[in-house]
Formats: sequence, structure tokens, C-alpha cells
Amino acid sequence: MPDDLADVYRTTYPALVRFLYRKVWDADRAEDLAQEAFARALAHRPDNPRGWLFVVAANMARDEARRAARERRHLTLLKSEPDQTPSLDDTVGEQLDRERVRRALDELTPRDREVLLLWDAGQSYDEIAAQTGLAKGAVGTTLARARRRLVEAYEKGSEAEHVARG
Amino acid sequence: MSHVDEGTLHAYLDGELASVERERVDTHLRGCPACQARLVEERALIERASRLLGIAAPPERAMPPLQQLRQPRLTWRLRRPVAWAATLILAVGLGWYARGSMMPGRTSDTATPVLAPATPSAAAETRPGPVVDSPAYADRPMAHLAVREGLSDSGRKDRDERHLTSAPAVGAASNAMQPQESTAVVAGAVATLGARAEQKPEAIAQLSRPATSDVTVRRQAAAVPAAAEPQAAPPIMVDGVPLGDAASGVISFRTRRATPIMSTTWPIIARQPARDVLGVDPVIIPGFAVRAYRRNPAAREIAVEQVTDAGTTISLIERVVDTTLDELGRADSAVVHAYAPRAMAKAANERLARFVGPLRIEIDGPLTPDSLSSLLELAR
Repeated sequence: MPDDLADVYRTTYPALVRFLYRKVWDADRAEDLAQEAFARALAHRPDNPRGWLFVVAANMARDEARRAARERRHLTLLKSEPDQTPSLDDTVGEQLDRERVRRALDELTPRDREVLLLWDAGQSYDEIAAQTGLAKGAVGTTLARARRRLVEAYEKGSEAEHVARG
Repeated sequence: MSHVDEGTLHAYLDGELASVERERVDTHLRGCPACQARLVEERALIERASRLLGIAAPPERAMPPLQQLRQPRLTWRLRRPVAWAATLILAVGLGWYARGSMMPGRTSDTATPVLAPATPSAAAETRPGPVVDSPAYADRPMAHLAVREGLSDSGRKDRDERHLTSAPAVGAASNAMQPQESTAVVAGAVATLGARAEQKPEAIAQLSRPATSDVTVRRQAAAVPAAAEPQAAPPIMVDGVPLGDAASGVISFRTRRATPIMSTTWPIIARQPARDVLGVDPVIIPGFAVRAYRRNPAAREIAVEQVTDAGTTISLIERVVDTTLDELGRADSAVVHAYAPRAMAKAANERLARFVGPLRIEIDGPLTPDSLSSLLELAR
């Protein structure tokens, strides 16, 4: 069992970080949460660690989002935080692109987004179905719609920027 | 067969169709140019979507070893109960000692302040410090434990007065004390003593001795010398909290997780001396005005007070990471620093701390832990 978890860790950790990153949009935070999820898995020893980890991670990200919303309210009083200090290895273009994708993802329905992110984090249709409560047959349809909307929203966003720039 | 629907096409391209279904799709595609065209389209869509998601990916970083995720969690689980047990044992030992010294027939010698020589106990060795009567005793492991006796005593000394009549000495000691350190040290002492206790039964006696000898035990001078009657048995103070009634033997306590740092009482110094204390520039949160640098009179510790835009004063309490900590302690803090999820630290309701260069920075202020945490993140 411990070996199991070690394997899962090796194969799933980067995917879990990626999954969380698209929810909290902060690399450090995503890593922290992923590590916390694994620390909990070490304590709980779930039967299906992979699925369990993603469920826990999704819950943590949701709590995190609520917490962040609360904190934003508070921090506006402080007016302390410089806006999202960019990391040094980021070029401006990369940041812009990422921001566009982020906005496009935000336009998806929560379910479409969740399915898309889970798929992108390497979850199978079966695993996605188990986690989201969708029928397995509906996962393909949901994914198809999510992908289409993501691409459309992204392109619409880019166009709008071009128009705005003139 | 009717045309292949969109969802099935995606499942097909994702390799998620069962073999029977897959063959059926293959068969249909061979005879249906329209579906073939759609297949090409959908494949392009999938690639495009996954490229977009690839843009929004976090930077790839090294994974911490799995073992290290477990470590902080375990140590946190173990350390607290052990530390509490240690505190309790020490308190009981102190109670006995206090009763002994209250017995009649003692000479006036014992009534004067006693700063017992630090016996080479396990605890004292862990963290050597000068044994003096100034607040520097806060450096010593057990200094946060002090027994106050309510007995009046006309033969008090000035030194005594300075410590006891103004502010409670206990408060002063706990001010300077870092709770983390005390926990670790006490836990260490108990571990050693516990090991001894396994070997020989009479170790119980040893267990209370090093404790009491290392603790400041003294009689509190009455503010009014005329009040000569012995008062009711005084409470045992631990971290400024009454632990119980020494006379009745009833011990009760409430949980206190982090002792407040009373850094606002530390003397203000200039920036250069603050820098000299730390050996490096004091860490500040950029963008906030620095109101004062304060120095802990009892330790090489600096508090930087800064004012937020909203007028709130926050303090960054900074000290050089103690290199005399044993291997375990160092490994532990390294783990906490590098890997321990902040969420975990929060769950434990610890005071927020992080490491910047050689410094350990704690933050304190009248804000929510979340806000303090965000501010601490900005410190550099």
C-alpha cells in the first residue's frame, strides 16, 4: 500500500498541481494544496488514491476560492497587495496568453470546466464520471462542448483585445 | 448505422471507447465521408483546446520527496501532546517544590530570590545560555515556567522588586519566549527523561529535580510590607496562565496555542543597530512605512513595526535561525520551510512564520490570519 501511494505520487503529483493551478491560479498555492492532499492521503490511505486525491483537491480548491474571496474583501481595506506579482521567468506575452486562457475557462459552466480540467489532468472517462456524477456516456459529450467553448471564448477574447487596441 | 455523434467522436479520439463500440465507429467512418470530415475537425479542436490549456500550466518544478510531506504532519501530531505532558509533569514537580519551600522553619536564605544554578539537565544542554538575573534568563529553556508565591517577605532585594512588583515576571519571560522553541526543548527534555525513566524506577526523582533547579522560584514581595499574613496558596503560573491550585492539588488549564509576543514593549532602536543584531538587513514588507525597529532585550531578535495603508500596525518579529538546534529540529524547519503546506500550518493555528534568507520571520498584528499570511508572503 505505501508503495502504491508512492507510485501514485510519482505519476499523479504533477497532474494534480496542474489541475489545482487552473483553479487557484497561483503556482505556489497549487503546489501547497497538492502536497496537502497527498499528506492527507498518507494519513487516510484511501482505496482509490487517484480518484480520492482529485476529489480532495477539488474541495480544497473550492474552499480556497471562498477564502480568497473573503480575503480580497479584506485586503481592499489594506490596499497592500501589488497586483499578482509576476514571476521572473514569465515573459509579458506568456502572461497575456495565460490571462486570456484563464478568462476563457471562466466562461465555461462549472461542470464543463471541471470535466475539461480533470481530463487534462489525466483522469479517464470512468474516473471523471465517478467524480462528477455524470454518466460515462455523457463525459464525451461534455468534453466536446467544453473544448469548443474554450476555444471560442479564447478567440473571442483575443479579437476583442485587437478591436480594443484598434 | 446513423452518423456518429459528437460525444462519441471525442470519446473515440480520446481512446475511451470500449472495443466493441470502437469497431462500430471504425466501420461507419469507412463508409461516411461526412463523419470523416467531422473527425478531422474534432481532432483539430481537441488539439487546440489542449494547447490552450498547456498555456495555462504552472511552471514545472521538482517534486518534494513523498516522505517529507508526511514529516511535518507527524511531528506536529506528536510534539504537542508530548509538550503538554512535559508541562504538566514540570508543573506537578514545581508544586511539590513550592510546598517544600513554604514549610516553616526555612532560613531567610531560601527566602531570597533563588536563581538555581543550571544543573546539566538534558534541557539545559540543548540550549546553552548565560545564567544571569536579567531578562536574559528568557534564553534559558525553562524560563517561561516560574512559580509565584504569594508569601510576603520583608527581606526582599531590589532585584526582586524590579522583576516582580512592576510587571509579572512570568509575562516578561513569556514575552521573549518563542513558543515553538519552548515546545521543542521541553519535548526534548521529556524524551530524554522518559528514556531514563524506562531504565530505572527512581528516575522519577530525577525528573522533577532538573526541572525545578532550572526554574526561577522565588517569593513575591508584597506591595505593602505590613501585609504579613500568608495568603491563600498561589496558583502555579505557566506562560502567564494559572495552572491550578498548588495547595489543593487541583490542576486545571486552558489551551493556549501561541503566546502573544509583546514586542511593542521592546526598546526602539535605529535601523543600523537592528541590522547589527540580525547580521543582515531586517526584512520588511515593501510599500509600508516602517514605524519602528525594536529590539528584544532578552534575545537577538528584532521587531519591525510597519503601518499599513489602513493605519494598522503590524509587527515582523525576526531572528537569525538558530544553528544550535539539533539535527532533527533543523530538518524539521527545513521541511516546514520548503514543503509544508501553508494550509496545514493554518489548521494548526500556529503563529504565521516563514524563512527569508537566514532569518525566521513571524508576523503579528490585529488582522485575520489570512490577511497576516498574505502580508507575510510579501515580506522580503
